[in-house]
Amino acid sequence: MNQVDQWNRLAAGRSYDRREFLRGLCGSALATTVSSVLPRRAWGSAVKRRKVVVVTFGGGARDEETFAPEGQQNIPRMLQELMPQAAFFTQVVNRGILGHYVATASLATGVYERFNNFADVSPENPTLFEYFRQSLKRPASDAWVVAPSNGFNRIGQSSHGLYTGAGASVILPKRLLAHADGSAAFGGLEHLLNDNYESPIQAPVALASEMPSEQVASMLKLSVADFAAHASTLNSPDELSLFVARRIMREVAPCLLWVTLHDIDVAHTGAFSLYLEGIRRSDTICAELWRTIQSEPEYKDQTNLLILPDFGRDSDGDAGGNGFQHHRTGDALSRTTWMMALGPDVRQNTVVDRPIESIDLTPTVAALFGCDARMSQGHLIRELGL
Amino acid sequence: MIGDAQKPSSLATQQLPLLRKLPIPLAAIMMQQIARADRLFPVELQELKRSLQALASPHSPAIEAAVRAFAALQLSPELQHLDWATDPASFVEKMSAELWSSGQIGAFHDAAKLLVPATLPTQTSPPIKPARFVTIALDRRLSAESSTPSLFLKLRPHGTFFPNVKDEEPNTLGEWLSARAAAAPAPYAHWRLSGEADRSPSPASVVSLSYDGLKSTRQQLLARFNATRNTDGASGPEGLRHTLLQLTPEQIGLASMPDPVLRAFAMEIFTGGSGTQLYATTFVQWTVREVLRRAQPQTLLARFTPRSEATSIDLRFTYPELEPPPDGRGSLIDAEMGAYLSYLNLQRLPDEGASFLVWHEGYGQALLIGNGMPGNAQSQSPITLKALLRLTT
Repeated sequence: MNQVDQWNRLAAGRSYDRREFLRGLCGSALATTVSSVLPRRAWGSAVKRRKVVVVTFGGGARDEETFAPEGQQNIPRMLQELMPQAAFFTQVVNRGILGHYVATASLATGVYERFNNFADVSPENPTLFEYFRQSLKRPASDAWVVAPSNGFNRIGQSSHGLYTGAGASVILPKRLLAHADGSAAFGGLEHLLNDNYESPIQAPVALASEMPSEQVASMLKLSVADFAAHASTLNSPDELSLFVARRIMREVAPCLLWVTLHDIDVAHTGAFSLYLEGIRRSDTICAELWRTIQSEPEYKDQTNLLILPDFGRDSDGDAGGNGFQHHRTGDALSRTTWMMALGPDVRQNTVVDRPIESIDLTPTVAALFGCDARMSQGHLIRELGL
Repeated sequence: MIGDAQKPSSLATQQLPLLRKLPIPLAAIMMQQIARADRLFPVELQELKRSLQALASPHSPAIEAAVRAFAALQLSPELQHLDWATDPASFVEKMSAELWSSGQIGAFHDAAKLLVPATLPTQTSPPIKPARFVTIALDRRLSAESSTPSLFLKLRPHGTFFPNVKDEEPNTLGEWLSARAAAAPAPYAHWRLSGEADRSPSPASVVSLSYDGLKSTRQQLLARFNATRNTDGASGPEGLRHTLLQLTPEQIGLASMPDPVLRAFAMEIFTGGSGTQLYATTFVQWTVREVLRRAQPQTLLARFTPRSEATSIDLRFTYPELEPPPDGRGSLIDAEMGAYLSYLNLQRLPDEGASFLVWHEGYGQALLIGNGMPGNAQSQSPITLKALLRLTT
């Protein structure tokens, strides 16, 4: 059996486990044909008002700790609040490099990027944000990325020559709290500054196209000092990201917002309890983002929310790994994860069992906006009404 | 033939003609092992010898398949021109990155798995006496919200659960370990690992390592991390990795450890393990894994003690001497997973008949896996820890 066959077999097995669990939990309908999950209402006339929020877990989460029966205690709000309104995709396979920045970049370009995960480089292929802005002639304020760590500062703009200057506004919330050298600008907030768990040391990062902190703060109508005061009440960098994302939604209301969470990646320290805390926090943040979407007039009833981990983590059974701690083996379970979709283009309470790939995200979101991610290598997820 | 006392340099010279006939990825990983020959445990050295002999002699179909699989890997011309023989560790680092970026890492892992049978003894080895036994103890300060938590749920399908275990003697596990070491003395055959330094001394035949006992080493390494990241022009994770590859045990305060193999092992726990420098629970879990994988001991006693509460890595780097207060609740969750992973690592060793015991000294709950212990079973009868240790042997 070759490697791809093996991945497919194991991924399908995992998919079955998720599907059966969800069926028992929610009574979800299993979508066997595309037509059975088409949205309940046509969206073509509403496309101009359509908004999309993407949340990625930039620190893979395994089934054992999320959607498998023994993991459900860690994701109560996704299961109880979101799942009944969602379409759930049981097999999302990532065939690329399992490093968080390069994998998130691959999600954003729809191409498996091959650059060094720790390098300070832009994606080579055009990003979703560039397709969206250039095709629809949207301003920079209409596409935002809220990302966790310094390494993600180039995620919004590819190095592709055809899309120069068409990227997203990227905000690294912690930058608002730090001096240029990365040290805390406000006492007591050091705990929010360093979250690069994949490696204890980050490559030096150029600050080329980043907005000054003051400009960001001004746009969000928040003084940096007030921001720091609020941040001091938060427990984690991901809570800081949620705070900033909400502020962006309130003050700027972009059509395309991409939030990458990262607390889960504390798993690299080998502390299982902290990894579980990260999952529970991500669960809360996803539910709170959906609540925000439904409470903000600019977003309510016209926004699709897509939630997916960038990939999984190593299985306990692979001798080359160390269980949940890393994602180094490239085994099937570390490559197979899930996606949850909510919003007007999604049939609620549905389980989609066919395998999709993580690079399918970008062409699909682009199509939801009515534009073509023409260099993407992914396929449309037709179950989202396409 | 390869002599036990051979230096890596002469071994490398001797084996170079053979290695040059092999596909470069295979040659490089074999040379990386040869370069570490003086830091290998006896079992590892035997495995290396068997691998080299298998590759040198007329090939079995399995070895032929492994060589073909390595030969099928496509390396870039730049990588092929690098000197894998002189600095195999750096070469393997670069090769690993390239295999990931070219989508060949899975094929590399598959090829390496094909080579594993060549490392195993060709003749059936007599069972080790006494049979291998791993005991994991959870300190009473590892506490749950509930007064009577249900422990070891992931392990219960594999063994018998004892909810009423008493330890009526002050040093039951220490004496048990000493007795086993005295009965079958051998280098690196009996180990004691802990988050805290041993309260009772172990005999010389027991290898003993603890998170607290290596405090100075941990702190010196964290200080090096901090210095590396603050250096102008720091080259990020790859620069750090390169720095760690060049590090010697003496540079992080391990010179007082007389045994060079153990000295190198202790360093590699911190330089190769992630989080071992920060949390006692991670140190114990990872060290159990590495001891089982590398030294393949007959006896292993590991004790999980409370790790420090979660603290910013940034802060730990900046203040290496910082030892935050303990987190007993989180530590119990960590230790339960640590015990489960330890059992899986024990299962990967090639012998049958091994025993595995995990017990929480505060809650008096234990789970025993081994001969005569049915899975998914429970024994309500009160039992002493001493009696429990005799049930499977």
